Amino acid sequence: MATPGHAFYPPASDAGGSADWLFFATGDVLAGFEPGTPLPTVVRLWKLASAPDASVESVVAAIPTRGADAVGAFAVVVLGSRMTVVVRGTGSVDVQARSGTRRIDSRNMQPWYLAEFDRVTGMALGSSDRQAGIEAGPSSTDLPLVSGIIRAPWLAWSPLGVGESPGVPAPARPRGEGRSEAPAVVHQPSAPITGSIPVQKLAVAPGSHRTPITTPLPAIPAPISSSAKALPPLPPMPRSARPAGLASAPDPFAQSDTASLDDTVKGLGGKWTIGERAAELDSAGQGTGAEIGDTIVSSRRRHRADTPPLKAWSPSRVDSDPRFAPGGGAASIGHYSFRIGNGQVYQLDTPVYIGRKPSSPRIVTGTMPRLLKVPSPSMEVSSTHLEVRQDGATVVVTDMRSTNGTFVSQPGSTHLKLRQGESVVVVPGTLVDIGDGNVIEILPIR
Amino acid sequence: MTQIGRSNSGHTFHVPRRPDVELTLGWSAVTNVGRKRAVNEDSFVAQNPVFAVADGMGGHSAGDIASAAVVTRLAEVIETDFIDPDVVEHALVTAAQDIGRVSGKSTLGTGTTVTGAALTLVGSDPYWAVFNIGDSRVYQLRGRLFEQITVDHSVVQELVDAGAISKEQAENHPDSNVITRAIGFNELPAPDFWMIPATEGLRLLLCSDGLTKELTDEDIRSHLVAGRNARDTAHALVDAALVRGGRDNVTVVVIDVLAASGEFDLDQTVPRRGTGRHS
Repeated sequence: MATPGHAFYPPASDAGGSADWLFFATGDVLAGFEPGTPLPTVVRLWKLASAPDASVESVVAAIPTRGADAVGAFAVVVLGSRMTVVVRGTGSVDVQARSGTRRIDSRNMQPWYLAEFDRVTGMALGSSDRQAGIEAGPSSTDLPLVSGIIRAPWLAWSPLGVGESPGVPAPARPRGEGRSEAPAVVHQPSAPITGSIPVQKLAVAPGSHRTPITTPLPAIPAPISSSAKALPPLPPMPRSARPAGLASAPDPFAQSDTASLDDTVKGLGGKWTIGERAAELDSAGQGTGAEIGDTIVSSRRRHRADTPPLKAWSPSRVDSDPRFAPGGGAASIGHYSFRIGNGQVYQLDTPVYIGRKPSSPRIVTGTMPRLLKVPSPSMEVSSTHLEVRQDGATVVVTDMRSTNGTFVSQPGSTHLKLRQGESVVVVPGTLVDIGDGNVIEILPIR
Repeated sequence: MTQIGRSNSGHTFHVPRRPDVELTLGWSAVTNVGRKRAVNEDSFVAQNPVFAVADGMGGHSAGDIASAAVVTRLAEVIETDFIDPDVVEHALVTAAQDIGRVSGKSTLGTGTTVTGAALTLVGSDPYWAVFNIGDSRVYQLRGRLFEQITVDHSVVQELVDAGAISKEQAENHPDSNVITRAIGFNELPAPDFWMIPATEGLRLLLCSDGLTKELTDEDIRSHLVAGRNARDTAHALVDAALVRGGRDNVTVVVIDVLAASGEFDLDQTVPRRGTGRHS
């Protein structure tokens, strides 16, 4: 309810609407479930999502994904200045931004696929069988949905208020400054969650009772508890407690220049609200003349734009999340390792950048990453192609916007091509192909 | 203003344990007080393997002392043609202690930015360890790629990161002088680092904000690609900043990797056979 805009849906596509999905809307949460989903399940989830402390974690973790009452396909969207999408099975979400519209489907990830987007100007969810695309606004026969459960072919959301003319494709934030470059949706690296804690600060923590463990993982001190609510609270802003009107503030979380639908931009968690930024700026601005001249350090408190202000974010640890606190994470479980081909085995004790001639991105910890050069006689490998790092108890592989992409084969899973800049959580035994015969094998903790 | 080293049109040396690899660097440093300031509080060191620009701040020429401390401590740790980034970081810590001693009584505090590049080895490959604290900048020109490597520690940069303002708005933002990290002010220096392979043809530009306040990125790029050597390029950049107003001290260091034998690499990755680029 903090996010301006409204949801709408078309009337049922057949008489009983039996072929249609079940959707609910409440506050910032919109969700859809495959036709066979028992109504009581949907009602229960709707109530859960309506709770004041609801979060994407609590809602998604409560959806049965195993057993007789498993929901094979669903799509959950949490609105906000950063929109979170979780899809499973044939569930899909069409996300519209200035650069165009993209369908987000589950890519056969188990138990679901999670992605985050900034500056979304429109959105629709439903089955991936439906026609792709988003209406600019409701047609005359469409009905608004504020809160409740419906059957419909799809459920859409527009940032415009009810009754506002859709007109031109609605920019989510009409007061935008007319950026000429075309950054639009920022696709957060999304980690398919396979039995361990995901990378994102916004961690979806599936309850262990329904988490498919695809590979035996080492014992982790206490990160996974039996219910999502019992997890330590995540520092990033609670989605249910976002200040009203945030989404209409000028482009919060926009990324600098070259973002496109396929881009992944990391480390811009953007944990400050605009209000906090304004306050910070006010205090910083005190005593600074407008004249070009003295440079003044605004604040003793060191912070970075992409972190919660209290702690510096490090690429090698997710230290803003108490579950990854030193001693509770990698420190006590040891390090995964990897090798390239049949080469030397390296420990993942520091982030690794692999490429033809790798550069490192910004390093803020003081711990130097490992830069590994691989031969690429036919120049298929990009100069900095792949990042491999251990976050807590998981290994994360990130394509560094390579030219040719990265192919990931997880044991017992389908092959996956990482989009440029995309991240994936991998398990030991995974093979990562970056081209020219360079295959990185992820090895267990030893 | 403290100047250590100045320019060298061609310094050639071997990479340790790699007799086949020879590196030739050329560099030039130029500083100017500008047209509005009475004192030049910028300092630089331009002596292989450490290149840095420091922009001091603080009243009564305290900024001068701060920037001098940084470049002096950096110059002290130079021993060979390569240096470990940890040594650079340690020199910055020592400089911060120096600054803490002299600024003890100042109510405003004394501090300095520092940005630079230190030639280091990754395995046996030469790399630039680019480091930054504050809002002085390092740019790179590699083939056709021109980009700012460092990320300013400034309130405006944080607003840009947050999407609250655009890059264009940032240039004229009233708080463009407010930085969020510095050496001094009783803080432990926390530099960001970037590791950049020192390949032939790479050109680095280190500059204080006196340059970037006057010239746009496109202005800077046009000077870097003009085909002049490091010395002429550095002078042209400073002159251009003065013509535009020279409101602050201007310091520029241009470093060229003129030759890197034994290292041959195309700059472009070629599309992988049998796989289209993903849309």
